[in-house]
Amino acid sequence: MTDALDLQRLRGLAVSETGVLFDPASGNTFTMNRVATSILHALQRGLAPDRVCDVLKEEYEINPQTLERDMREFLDRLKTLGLT
Amino acid sequence: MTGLNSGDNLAPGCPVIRSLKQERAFQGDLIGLSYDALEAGLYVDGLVNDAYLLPYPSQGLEPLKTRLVSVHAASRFDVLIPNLDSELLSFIRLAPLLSERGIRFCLPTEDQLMARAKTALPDLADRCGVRVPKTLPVFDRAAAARGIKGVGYPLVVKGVFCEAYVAYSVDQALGYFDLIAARWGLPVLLQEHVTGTEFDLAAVGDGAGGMVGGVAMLKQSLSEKGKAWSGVTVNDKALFRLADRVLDALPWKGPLEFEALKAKHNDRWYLLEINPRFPAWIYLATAAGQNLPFACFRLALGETVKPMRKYRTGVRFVRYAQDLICDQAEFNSLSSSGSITREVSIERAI
Repeated sequence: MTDALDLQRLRGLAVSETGVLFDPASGNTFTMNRVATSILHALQRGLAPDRVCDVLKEEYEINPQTLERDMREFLDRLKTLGLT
Repeated sequence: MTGLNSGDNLAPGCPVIRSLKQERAFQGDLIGLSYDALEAGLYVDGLVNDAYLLPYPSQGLEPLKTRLVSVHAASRFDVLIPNLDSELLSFIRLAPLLSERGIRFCLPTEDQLMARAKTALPDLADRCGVRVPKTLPVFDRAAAARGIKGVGYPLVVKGVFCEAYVAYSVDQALGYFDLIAARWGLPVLLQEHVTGTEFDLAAVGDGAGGMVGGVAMLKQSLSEKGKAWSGVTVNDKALFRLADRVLDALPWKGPLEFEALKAKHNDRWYLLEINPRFPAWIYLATAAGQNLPFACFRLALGETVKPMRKYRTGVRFVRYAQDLICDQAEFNSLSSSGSITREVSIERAI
């Protein structure tokens, strides 16, 4: 779906249950909604993005195309912010 | 311990003491050394046992030596940790003589102190292979006017010890030149203004080119004087590599602080300054898991300190100022005889 993710970098991000993401390298803090938090937790567990979509389809009532689009946007956002 | 002033320009002395008191293995008494009877740390309940006034560094080495010998005779302290830039050269020069009397330090050499000075930093950076913003020291107004055009806009006008201002025009830059020259003397530094995110790294050098410990911090808010008023611990490997390269070229012994910037336009690191003592935010390092003041204290005693590698990121601090009600009798004692002697029960700060 996207370029290879830096799993070590992702696993270094601190994510709270309430969706606050702290990047220990830059000191920047971000807030995420529930879906984004679920995505990031799944990526940190080592799941590939395609597999994450499969898991989320079971968890949320969501149009698969919408989910894939949202996933791509989220991954692009992580990349833009230097988080992967 | 020196550097006990507080307020909006907190010196490191009080946070260094706070770090030492937090360490269960630290069993010593704490003596406050100050240049001013109104330094807040002298009056904080339970912070220092005794306190003594010192002559200003500008009065020369002999008065300072005489006073320290006298204070040592009265209080028998073992280790002296200087926390102010302006006094370091004096203590470095007096250290050999004072160590014969049993006063120990954890300090760099005079050459090393000079090598990290703002005027010498570009040369040091060259040796280490690290980047610094283009810097031009100027010694008079005419040279400043010429130099400003070479550096370009915006530029930073800096004093060798203190103060830095961003200027966007020649008139503004020359105004800052006049201000800084009047306050701090010459040279004044004209520096390329690199936009990016500033980080600080507090460390203790082991004297052999290595780092006993180090903690990095991102400033999140600043006081009016540009000091960190809140911050959070971070860990960027590139910043530590920069510090390692500097220490390898400059085998520093004792505390220091790297001020560095990650440039916005190219994501590269620039070394801005090396401060030759603990920063005022040093207690954050202790709270994050590396008690650097205690490490420095142990090094001063000649102990071998195992390097500390880990600390918690995401530890935040916010500074606050509080009015302290001072004992008039203590102020009178300090003002008249230059000392306070008290019984203090040392409570462990958490």
